[in-house]
Amino acid sequence: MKRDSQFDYLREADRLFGRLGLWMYGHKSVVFVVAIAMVAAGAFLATRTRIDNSFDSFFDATDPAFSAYKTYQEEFGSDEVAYLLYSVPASSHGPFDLDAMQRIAELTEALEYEVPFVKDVTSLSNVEFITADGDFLEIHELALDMPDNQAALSERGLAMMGKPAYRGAIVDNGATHGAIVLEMTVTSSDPLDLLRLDPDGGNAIENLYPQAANNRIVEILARPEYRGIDFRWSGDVAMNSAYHEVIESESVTQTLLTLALVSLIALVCFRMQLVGLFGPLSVVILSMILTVGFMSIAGYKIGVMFLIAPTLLIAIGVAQSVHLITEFNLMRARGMDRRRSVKRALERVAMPCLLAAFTTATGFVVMSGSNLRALAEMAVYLGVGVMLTFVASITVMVCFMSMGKEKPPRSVAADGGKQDAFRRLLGRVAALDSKRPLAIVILFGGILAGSLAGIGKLHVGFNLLDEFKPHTQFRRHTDYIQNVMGGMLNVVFVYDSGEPDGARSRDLLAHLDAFQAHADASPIVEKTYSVVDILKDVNQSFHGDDPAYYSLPDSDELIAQYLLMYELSGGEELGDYLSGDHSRTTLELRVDLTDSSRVQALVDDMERYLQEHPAGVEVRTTGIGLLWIKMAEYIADSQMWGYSLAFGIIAVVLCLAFRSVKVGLLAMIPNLFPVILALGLMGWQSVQLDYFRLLVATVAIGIAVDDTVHITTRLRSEFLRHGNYERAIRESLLSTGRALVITTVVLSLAFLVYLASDLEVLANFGILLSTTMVAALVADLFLLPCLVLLLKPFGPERAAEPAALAADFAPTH
Amino acid sequence: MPRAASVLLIAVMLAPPAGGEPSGSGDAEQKGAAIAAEADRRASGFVDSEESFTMVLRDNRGRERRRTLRAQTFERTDDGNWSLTIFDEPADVKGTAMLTYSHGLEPDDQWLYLPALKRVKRISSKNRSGAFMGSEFAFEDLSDFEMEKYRYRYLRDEACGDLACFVSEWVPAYEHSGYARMELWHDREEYRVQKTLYYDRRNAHLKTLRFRDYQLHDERFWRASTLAMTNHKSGKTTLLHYNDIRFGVGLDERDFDQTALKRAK
Repeated sequence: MKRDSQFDYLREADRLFGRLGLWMYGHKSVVFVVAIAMVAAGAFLATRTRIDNSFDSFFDATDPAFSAYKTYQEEFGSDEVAYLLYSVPASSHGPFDLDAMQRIAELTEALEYEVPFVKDVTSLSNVEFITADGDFLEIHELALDMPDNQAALSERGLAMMGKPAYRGAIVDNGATHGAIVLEMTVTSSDPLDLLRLDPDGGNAIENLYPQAANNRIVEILARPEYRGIDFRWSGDVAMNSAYHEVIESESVTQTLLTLALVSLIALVCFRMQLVGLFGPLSVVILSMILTVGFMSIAGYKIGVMFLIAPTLLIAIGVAQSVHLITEFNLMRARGMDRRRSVKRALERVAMPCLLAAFTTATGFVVMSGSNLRALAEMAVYLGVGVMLTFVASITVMVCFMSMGKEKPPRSVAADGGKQDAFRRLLGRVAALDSKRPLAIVILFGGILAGSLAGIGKLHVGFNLLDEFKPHTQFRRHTDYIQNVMGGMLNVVFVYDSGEPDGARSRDLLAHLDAFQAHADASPIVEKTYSVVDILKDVNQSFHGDDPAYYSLPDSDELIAQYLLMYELSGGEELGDYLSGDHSRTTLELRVDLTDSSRVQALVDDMERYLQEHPAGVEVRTTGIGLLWIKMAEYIADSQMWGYSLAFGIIAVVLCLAFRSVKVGLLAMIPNLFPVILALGLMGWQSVQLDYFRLLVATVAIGIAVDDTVHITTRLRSEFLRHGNYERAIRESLLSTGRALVITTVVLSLAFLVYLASDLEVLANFGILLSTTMVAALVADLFLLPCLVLLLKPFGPERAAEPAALAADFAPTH
Repeated sequence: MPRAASVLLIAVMLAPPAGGEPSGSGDAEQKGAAIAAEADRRASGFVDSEESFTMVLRDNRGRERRRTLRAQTFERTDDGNWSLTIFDEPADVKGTAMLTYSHGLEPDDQWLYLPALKRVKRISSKNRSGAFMGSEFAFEDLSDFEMEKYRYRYLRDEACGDLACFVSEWVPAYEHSGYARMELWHDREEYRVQKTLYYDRRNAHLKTLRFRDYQLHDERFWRASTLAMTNHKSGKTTLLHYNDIRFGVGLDERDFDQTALKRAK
């Protein structure tokens, strides 16, 4: 066997890390100062990162769909809104109760003049209402001419309910709820100086849009003058505020929860040993600070995807620390002094840790090619973060392992030699692996086949409404509003005639009218808006409110003259539907917050209609709804090729590291198993793959491979020592198996911390990732040893190598 | 014309010749009112006028819409002025005409003739803060001036270009204004408005109106050739370019009834 030359590279790396350990042991104070300097620099940079979870933060500025959306925004203004729904439970007149209407008029003014970043506020009290009385045509606003008795207001309410433009928009079909729409002047991604409420007030989220606007809305609604009116609020302002609050509070609480959890686990696993507690804690804190510091340097913002970062980095940092401490304790238990134990721990564990960090980082970095900016950025900062975690774990753990008395603590001494239950269990696993390798491999093969069949049933898609847990205020309010008023999602079609005034030609508007009717027929479209609605309304009003005239005027001239009349009468809504030079016009669809695949089907259907019925001008699709679909599409795409790429790169890395294609590919099998199992189970249970769940495959393969790297490295070295596969498996499981179980417990419990999140998608991600981690452990303890036993990847068995057996106690230089 | 003519009035009322300090030099309120009254006095007495002008609506991306109009104005002393506005361009609105009887504090009476239907319709809007014809001018920017519509306060003297100006604050006294206040710069020599800043109800600077190229007509009436209103919130601008302004053309009340509206071309 060519084993000596075959593993020279790894052995040389091990020796290098051993020497590094000795140097660090001899220069503890230098290492300590370097660690403190890294904390200071990282903390300084970390204070400059900004929270942003707007759609803009998800997309690259050059993305065609996003840039079309930005063009639309520039032309027709910010489309971000705050949406308030109200009811008057004590009145049978609902929103047309006189007292309530007077108070809503006051509220509308208060919102318009007190809420920052508001462009316009529309409610029943000030919405444009076109009426005709003989030859008198008037555009009313209730607040300017408030009826002085209930009967008059009820009559006005009846007339308003007769206008299709209001129903489902500003009042529900049953006239039980009214709505107030606040259009905003900015979007969440505008430059920071435009988003500050107080220009000198700093960047705390309370001083920034949308939090500042949302807080003021909530404060105004709580005033005693509006008592008796029940409000619920949603829309972009409430949604982005809810995200910001979750990100700001949970990135702290989840970090603390995870830290507390891993401290507890460390104390239990390392029997109250202080290095086992403070070592990993210091590693993860340093890693986190360095990662956020890196984000600041790279100009990345903290978005919802960052929420997985703290727990993930803590879990990985702790896992690496556990491997180091376990090995260090083992050496100490065998009677080595502290200096030699540090050297030996680094010799045996640092290289697998580096390999594991590299493969984990690879799992993330492959996603950096995603079309979705937020995902691409997350891939980079998590990839860098994992590598920084490796640096932090080596640096900090050597500091901790170097401190203390020379005599091994009793608990440590006992740890290595005692035949505890843990050890006995691992021994039984090894025995089972040796006894029934073929049966175990067949069993895993069966599970894999079943899982693969389940993957075929997987469905990719998500629903914004389901992102928050049912108990959260945003979800409760949005659910309610969605039930009463319908869709909260916009899909927009922009007709571009290419010439001034071209968008008001009758031919174009007739096409738009038919296209709008087609959209209205969709079950998920709750409301449609276009300039055609205004023209029909004016036409009807101009003809004595005769419903027969609720139709498009029949000549270009009349359309132009109606529009002029509308503007001369004080109508102010044309700007929402017509560009400044009347060359472009829009059809806006308000769509249910439903499964993204249904929204995609709607867009496909609308675009098919346009192909079958050409408009004669360019028609572009845009709006938040389309961005949302694009987001799902980009994530799905990036995960499909991302997983393949990660799998390929990691396989190549393992083949190179072990200088054997056979060993490299063999090591990949237990990494495939947990991912296929998790996805297969989701497929069988018809669980939808949302954008967080989609991450599981690439994240899991990166993390799961860590344990495989450790166990494969140990299997290889034990086989070198003993020349016998059964013995190698037993020794590997008894030594590294312990660390694998501890790290899996740490990782799984840490990922379950996501359950505490207000975000349903994150909680689901946590469950899925934890399950995957446990499955990976099972595969590493059973499948990999059995495959090794059957396939004999390290060569034929031989007699034990005395030199190797003596290596543990060789003198340290 | 109703509103556009009133744009003219903003320039005119606060213009005429015959210099001199405001009579009251007491407190700031009196001095502010005196400046407004003197500007109003100098703008009055033109009897009737005719002019043509172009309205250019420019959006935040620089794209423009143009409208060419003609207007006739009949000055009345017992109530607000009467005006007739005729649209010449764009072609599809040619011949559309609007008759306006201004009423100061009360809503105006307005009639509109649509040539496509050959019908006259009376229209009304009580929304003074709404945009006029989709422009950056609000109806209240263009309405007839009456002293009781505002509260006045002199702020300071200040240079405005090559001229020396009074700077005054006007606070709307009527209901439903979109403004918390305005600041006006009148030149000390001719009491012409050089610049107006509009502050929204949150007291944030919303719009700026600049008057350019003043011309003296009939050796008495100063008129700006161009008015430029910039909305700082939306980034949009509206320009009014005046030409062919004539006074005392012999108009009478019969030129401002519904029959005249129908025959206006």
